[in-house]
Amino acid sequence: MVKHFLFIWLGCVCGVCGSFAQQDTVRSYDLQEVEIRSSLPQSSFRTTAPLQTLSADKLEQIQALQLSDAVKHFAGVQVKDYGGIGGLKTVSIRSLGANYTGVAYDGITVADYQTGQIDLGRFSLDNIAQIRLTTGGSDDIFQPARNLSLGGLIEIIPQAFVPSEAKRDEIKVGLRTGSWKMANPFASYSRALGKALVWNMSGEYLSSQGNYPFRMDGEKRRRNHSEVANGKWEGNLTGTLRNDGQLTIKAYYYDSDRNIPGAVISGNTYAGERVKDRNAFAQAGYKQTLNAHWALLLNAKYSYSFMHYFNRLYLDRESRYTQRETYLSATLRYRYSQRLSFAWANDGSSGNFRAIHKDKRFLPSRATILSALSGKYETSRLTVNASGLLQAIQESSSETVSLPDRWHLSSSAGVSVQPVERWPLRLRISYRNTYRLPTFSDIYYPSIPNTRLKPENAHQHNVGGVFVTSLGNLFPYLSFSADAYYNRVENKIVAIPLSSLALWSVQNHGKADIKGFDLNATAHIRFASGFSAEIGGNYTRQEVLNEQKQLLRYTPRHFATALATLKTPWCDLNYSLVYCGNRYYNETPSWESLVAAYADQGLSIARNIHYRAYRLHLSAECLNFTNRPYEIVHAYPMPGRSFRLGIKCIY
Amino acid sequence: MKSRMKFVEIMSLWLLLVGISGCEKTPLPDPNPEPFTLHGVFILNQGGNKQNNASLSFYDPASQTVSTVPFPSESEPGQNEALGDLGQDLLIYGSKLYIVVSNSSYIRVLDVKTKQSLGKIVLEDNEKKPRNPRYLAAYGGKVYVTCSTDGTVARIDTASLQTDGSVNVGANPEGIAASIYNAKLYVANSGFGTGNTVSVIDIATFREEATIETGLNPNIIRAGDQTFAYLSYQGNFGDIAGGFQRIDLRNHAVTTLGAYPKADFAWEDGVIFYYDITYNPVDWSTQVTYGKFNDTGESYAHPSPLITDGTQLTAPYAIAVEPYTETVYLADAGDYSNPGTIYVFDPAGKQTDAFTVGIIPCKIVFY
Repeated sequence: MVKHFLFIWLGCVCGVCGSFAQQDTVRSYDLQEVEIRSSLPQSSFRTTAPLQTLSADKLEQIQALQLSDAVKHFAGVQVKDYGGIGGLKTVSIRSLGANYTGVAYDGITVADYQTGQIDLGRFSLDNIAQIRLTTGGSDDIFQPARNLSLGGLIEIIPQAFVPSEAKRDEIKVGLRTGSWKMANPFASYSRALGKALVWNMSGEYLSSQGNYPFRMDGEKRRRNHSEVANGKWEGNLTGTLRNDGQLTIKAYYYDSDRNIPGAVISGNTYAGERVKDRNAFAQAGYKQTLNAHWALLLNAKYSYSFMHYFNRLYLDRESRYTQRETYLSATLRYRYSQRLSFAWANDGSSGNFRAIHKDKRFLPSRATILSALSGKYETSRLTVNASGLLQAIQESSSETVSLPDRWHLSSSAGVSVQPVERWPLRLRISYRNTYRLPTFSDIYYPSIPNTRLKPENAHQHNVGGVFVTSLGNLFPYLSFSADAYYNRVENKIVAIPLSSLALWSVQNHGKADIKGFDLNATAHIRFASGFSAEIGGNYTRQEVLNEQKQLLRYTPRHFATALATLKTPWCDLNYSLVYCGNRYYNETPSWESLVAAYADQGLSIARNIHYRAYRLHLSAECLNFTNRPYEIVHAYPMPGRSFRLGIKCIY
Repeated sequence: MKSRMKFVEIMSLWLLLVGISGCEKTPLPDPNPEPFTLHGVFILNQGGNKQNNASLSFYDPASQTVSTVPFPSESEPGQNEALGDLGQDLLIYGSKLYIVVSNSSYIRVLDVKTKQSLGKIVLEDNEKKPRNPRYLAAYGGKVYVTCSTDGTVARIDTASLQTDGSVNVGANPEGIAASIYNAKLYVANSGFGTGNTVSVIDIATFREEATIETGLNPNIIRAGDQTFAYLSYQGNFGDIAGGFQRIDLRNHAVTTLGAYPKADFAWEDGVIFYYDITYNPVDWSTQVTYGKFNDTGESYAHPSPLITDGTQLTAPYAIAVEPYTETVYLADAGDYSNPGTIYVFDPAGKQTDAFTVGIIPCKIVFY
């Protein structure tokens, strides 16, 4: 009986894990559960490698406008942010670098052939059910191979409307506005189509002047040339067919016109860079259980992106970049028994890229085949998984230079065990090997293209434990986790000047040793009469050294995040903190190269009003309320204190 | 072979002596007419592009110490401000030190002796666009600076520290030299790698009066009191190689001497001191050579070594010769993001000193 109880309890804690029979569909499309349980913590109790999640209500609490605002609350994550809404935002997980971080939107990864780095500023959070971050290997083996090929994966799981007899459609409209003329209206309409299907249309617009003030050399200045206007349209068709097949079809369009303020430099406030982005994709996913043993997952995506770069200062600096990608994926799962299952994922992608500059052009293309074979053994107290991934890459180019065909084999394995049945303590250990391919900008943009570039090779090791418990009625949920990690990056791909900054090459040079640990603690406190609180925090201590045992640039030794929410019968009060220790912009720690430690703290107040079938969500936010000036990237100041007001109506 | 080396050395020494005696006969119009004694060395550190971390180091040879010259903030007393973004060139003229900070688009002026700031000359066009000053030359109480963005040479009055004129040259001018021989300015029009001309500006009329066709991507040009100017050009870093040319100032005839140096060089009393970097496009290794030669075909083909003790620099980025001593200062930019090093070599090529300066040391001047 006790055993049974524990099992049920664990099941609840695991949130989306749901029932035992569907354990390895952790990343499931079963969004109803996510919605229902979004108030419960979605723990990563059973996973062999750290898995962190943020649910829809948490996203409302942390004053997140863009995806980057959310993921910086995950342990071990550092967001590189050039400031403002239009500033590039990339994510490095455990100091591996942005190229190791993938972003999967509704199950399918976003690819960037040019830089390999995904700008997280592009993704808004208005219709998101959950954000998940897997560091290292994933326990969900029933996935496309590309999702299994990355050092870390951020998954964005959109909210889905679940129709009922009484309610056939849903409308969401909202408006957020804030400092520096920020305006962000959005609307979404979902409607049931027959018995099984739901269609959805949503649109969003985000604009900002972005001219926030900052201080430099004792002088008060403002960011200028920082206007942003982003638009997003999305259409979805989802549902479960009569044969129990789950279908998701999505069409997506995003455009962004923005001025780039550039680095802050003495004397010169002129900025003339302008970027236009046009992004569209269509994707379809289909999941079908064939019989008691076999299940099939099919995914397809076609994406088109166009970017126009223009610099008013140097009129000859005008470039156009176009990327087209066709992506197909099929994963077959075989369940030998309740405990043992295998999956074979095969992905094929073909990417064409055009970079057209005034004086030269590059037209490279790359075809990739990924094949992953994974196995998983799982009982209530033990999870073991292992997988092998084969990458085959063929590349061609209009230039005489192009990479030779190549293939790489990488492996991943993990164990999670609950040593004592009565104790809610799980221990985990995992290893993962990831190849980071040279991107087109690595290969073709240097003064001299380097066709001999080898992929970067990262080994991720993790050892940790999770303890989840409750303490009486006061603490219905308490969790602690600690993970020590060691990452080794070989053949680092770096730009090396040859005889001046204008003449450079990209080479495989040196190694990085990343050692650290992440600590996480979360507590839910239930007070009397409708008051409750949720408090959580992460702390990371790390040391990132190069071959000469020097601390690598932009790697803080300490960083931490904290979130606290007080729920009262009238409103929710939230506090958020992101702390980052001292960093240096080169490998010579000195006062000159110091990028000083900072703590960015935010406060918000939110209230839900229910009136008949309407839900009205009102929020007021104060970001960086201490008005602390800081930089994440040297010479790119971050905004000081700012305010936002939001209203959202759901019917 | 050995005897030939000896011959070259003797010849060089002889030429050097001739050069020095020549100088004594017709001295440069040096504002400090007393014999040169070294008081200090200014080193401009370029800093990273768009990093706003250019800096000025000062080396005191008496105490053998290096310090960073502070720039007190104008708006906040007691605070220092950054030198600016992308230091490019230094020039001592009269009692003033001119510092070109290219991306900040201004020239800072210091009093050489006190290192006190005398002002800032902002270079921007009518639309407030930065003109991106690059290199300096001085003549007859005026300082001339090439401006990259608008393809001009600006003239600065050294008394008022104001620009008092501007002349159009080719696209993206880089190096500039003032010839005492014919009172003309010679400006290397780089065109960001597409230019192949040197503009000739008559100083009296301040007009471009001719262009001379040169190698592709002209870079650094130097002229002394003699009838020649020397020009390094960089080529396109691909199929068209860079090299070194002599321009006869009497008839503007250009003679290509050979493939080195392609970047910075120093010209002291008829002897050219240089470093040169070539890279191997197969494995991206770089090979650095150093030498000095005077302007004879034989001397150019077989330059004398600058370094004889096996000292190796990672990325030489600037070279300067202490006046009258033949002591060579070489700047090593290292990995271009961490502080660089200055190496000092005696005339025999032995390292006598080395000291750490700022990020990417790019120019060395003596006073």
